[in-house]
Amino acid sequence: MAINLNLELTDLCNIRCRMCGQAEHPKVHRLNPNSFMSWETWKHSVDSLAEVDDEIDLCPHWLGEPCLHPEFDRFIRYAFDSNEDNRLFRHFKLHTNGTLLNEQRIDALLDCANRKDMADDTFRFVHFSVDAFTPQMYENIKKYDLGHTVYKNIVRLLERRTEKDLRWPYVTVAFIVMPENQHEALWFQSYWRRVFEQLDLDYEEVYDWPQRLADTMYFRRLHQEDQAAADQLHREVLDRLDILPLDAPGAFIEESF
Amino acid sequence: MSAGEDEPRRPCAGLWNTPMVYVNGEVTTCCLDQHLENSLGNINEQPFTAIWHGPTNHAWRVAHAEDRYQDSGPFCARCNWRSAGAMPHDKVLSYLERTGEKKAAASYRKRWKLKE
Ligand code: SF4
Ligand code: SF4
Repeated sequence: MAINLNLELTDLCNIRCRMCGQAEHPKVHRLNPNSFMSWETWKHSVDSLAEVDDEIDLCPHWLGEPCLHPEFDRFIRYAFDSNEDNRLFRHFKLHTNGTLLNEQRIDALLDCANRKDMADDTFRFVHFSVDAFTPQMYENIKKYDLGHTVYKNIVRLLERRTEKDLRWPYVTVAFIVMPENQHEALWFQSYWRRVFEQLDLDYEEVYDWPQRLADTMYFRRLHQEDQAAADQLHREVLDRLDILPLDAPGAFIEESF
Repeated sequence: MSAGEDEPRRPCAGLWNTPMVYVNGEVTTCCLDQHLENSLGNINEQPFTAIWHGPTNHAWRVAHAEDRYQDSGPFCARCNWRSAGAMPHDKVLSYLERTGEKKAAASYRKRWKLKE
C-alpha cells in the first residue's frame, strides 16, 4: 500500500471558503509563529524519502494554500530535481485553489510533470477547488472576488499543456455540492465540458476522487454534521447532471485523503 | 465502502498510510489531527522512516489491532475513525507477522474470525 505523505508548505490561505475549517480563524488556525515551512524542513523531509521502502505519493499541502509559500517554485523544483528514477516519490499531486498561478508557474509545473528522468506518470494531477460558476457565487462561497482569476488560470494551464503537446498533469476541477451553490452545478458542468471538448481532451465526470487518468470534473459531497442531508442533496444534483441515477444501488466509496 | 454506524471499530488505515508533516516538521498520523495531538516526532530531528515506523506508531498500530484504542494516539481514542477508513484485514495481519507480533496476530484472527 502506498503511503500518502503530505508536507504542509503553509497553513495560511488567501481566501476563506465557508466549508473549510481553515476559514474559521482570521489568520492562522494553529499556534505556530512561523506559518511557512522552512527550506531546511522541506529539504530534510524530501531527502529522507530516499531511505523509505514504501512507495510514496507526495502532496505538498495539508490545510493551507501551498502556492502562497514565498518559495513554492523553488521547493517544488528541488523535489523534482532530486527524484531521478523516482528514488524519492512515485507520485505527486498538487491541491490548490488556483488563485495564485501565473504563466511562469504554469510552465514550471508543466516542466516538472513532463520530465524524462522519472516515470512519466509521476505528477498526475493538479486538483483545483472551484465550487462555483458565477463570480458572485465564488465570492459568496469564498469571500474573495477571484472567480474570474481562477477560471482563467485553470483554462490557461489546460491550453498551455495542449500548446506544448504535453500529457501531464491532468486537471481536476472540483465542485463541492452545497445548498448555496447547487443551482450552479449544471452551469459548471456545461462550461467545463465546453473547455475540455474545445481542446479535444478526454475527460471524466465523477462523484468521488478520480480513478482514471484523465481531466476530471469532480462533484464532491459536503462533509457536515447533518451528513444525511448533504448526501441527499449530492445525489439529487448528480441525478440532475446525469452522473448517477438517484436510485443507484451500492454505497459510495469512502473518500481517502 | 463506508462503514456502517453499528459496525465494530477496526484498525485505522491512517496509522499506516497517511502521515502529515506540519509546517514546523512535526509528523502526525492523519489530516484530522490538525492540532498535532498524535505527534510522533519532528522530521528535523529524525529521518521520516524512524518516525513513521518507529516504536510509538508501532505500539499504536498494535493497540488498534488489539482493540485497545484508548492506548493508541490520544486523538485516535476519540476520533470518528470512519473518515480515514479501515485497514484491510490481510494488511493488518501481514504487518503484525512481519513485526513479530504473534500474540496480537492470533487475537486479531480470533476476534475477526479469520483463517490462518
Ligand atoms: S482554498 Fe482550501 S484551504 Fe483555503 S479556505 Fe478554501 S478549502 Fe480552505
Ligand atoms: S483513528 Fe482517527 S485520529 Fe487515529 S489515525 Fe485514524 S483518522 Fe487519525
